[in-house]
Amino acid sequence: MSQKNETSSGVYRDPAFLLKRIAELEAEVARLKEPHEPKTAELDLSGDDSLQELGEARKRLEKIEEENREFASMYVQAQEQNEALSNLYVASQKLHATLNPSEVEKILCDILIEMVGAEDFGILLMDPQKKLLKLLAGEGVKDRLPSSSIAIGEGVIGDVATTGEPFFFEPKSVSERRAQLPLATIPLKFNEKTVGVIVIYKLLSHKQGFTTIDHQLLELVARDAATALVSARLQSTLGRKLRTIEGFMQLMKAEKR
Amino acid sequence: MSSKNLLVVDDSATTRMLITITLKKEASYRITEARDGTEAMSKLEREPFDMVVTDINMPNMNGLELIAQVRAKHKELPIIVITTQGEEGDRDRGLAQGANAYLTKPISAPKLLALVKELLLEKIESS
Repeated sequence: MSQKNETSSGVYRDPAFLLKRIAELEAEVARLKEPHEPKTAELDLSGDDSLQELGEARKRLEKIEEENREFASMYVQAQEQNEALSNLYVASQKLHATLNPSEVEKILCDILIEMVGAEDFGILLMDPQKKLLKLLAGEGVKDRLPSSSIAIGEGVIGDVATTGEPFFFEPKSVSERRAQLPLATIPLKFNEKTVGVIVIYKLLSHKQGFTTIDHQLLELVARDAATALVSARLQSTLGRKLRTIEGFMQLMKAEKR
Repeated sequence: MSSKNLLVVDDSATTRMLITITLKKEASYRITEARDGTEAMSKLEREPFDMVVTDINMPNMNGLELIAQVRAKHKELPIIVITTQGEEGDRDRGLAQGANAYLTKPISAPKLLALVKELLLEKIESS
């Protein structure tokens, strides 16, 4: 076994190496499973030695099959991690690709629909002076929110905005499903402060629930979306102020003439 | 293995990027993107493609119209349609228009890669 492919805990990393090893083990399993015509000179079944040999061969076969299953499982894990990394990369790239606030909102909605599979969701931003959360963008959520503005600390959504801790709800019974609680409420955090909340009420019909990749994606969104939204709004505010100042200066120049 | 030219059509830049990154894991795939059916038809007229991967809900020309127009001119070109809903409607309409297969969003990268490989292999074998 190649040293560079093996970690200190004995887990192999390189997918190409794993595939090659799986193929070798499958060939060995196939060879061991082949019907073996006993040659009298080689295998005399009347003796204890041959029974022992058979037992050992069987144990070896079981061990190889077990190894085969482990490698297949590791390969599947590597594929899942690969998929998660691709999703995280795309989400991060897109969120930080623009400083236009409406484009950032659209990209965030895109990520929630296209990558997480959310059907009814909302993005709420905090008004720190009024201590309210207001709906910024979303799909199919207006009738689901308790009101157009949610006080910080009120209900599940307001609670998440206060604590800064995400909340996930997996309804198990009919009564729990009727409760109309959001399936996920994730705080948007900028410099460790909650600046908003993402609420997901419903997933696409064929999606059973949140996967590990979804949780990782929502965690990234919580950080990066907040930064992107705050940066975009700051850029927009500064742009407006700059245009105002420029307009004022042009007016002054015109008056001087 | 010769390079395969794939056309990815979706109005969501995020989805286009995700599909492109997934498909580019195969070194022999060259990916071209289009934002809607109209842009896709324009690209199809300029160069040959080995496969089209298209969303359904798009502005200007939606996926169903695109599939119909592609089938009218390229009977053998493999088409994968991507549906947002798990309902049978979008899927069945896409397949009825002539798509070879469908995938539902959110897209699973291994499923997409496996489906593309399978359809390209079928195309090679049938030609």
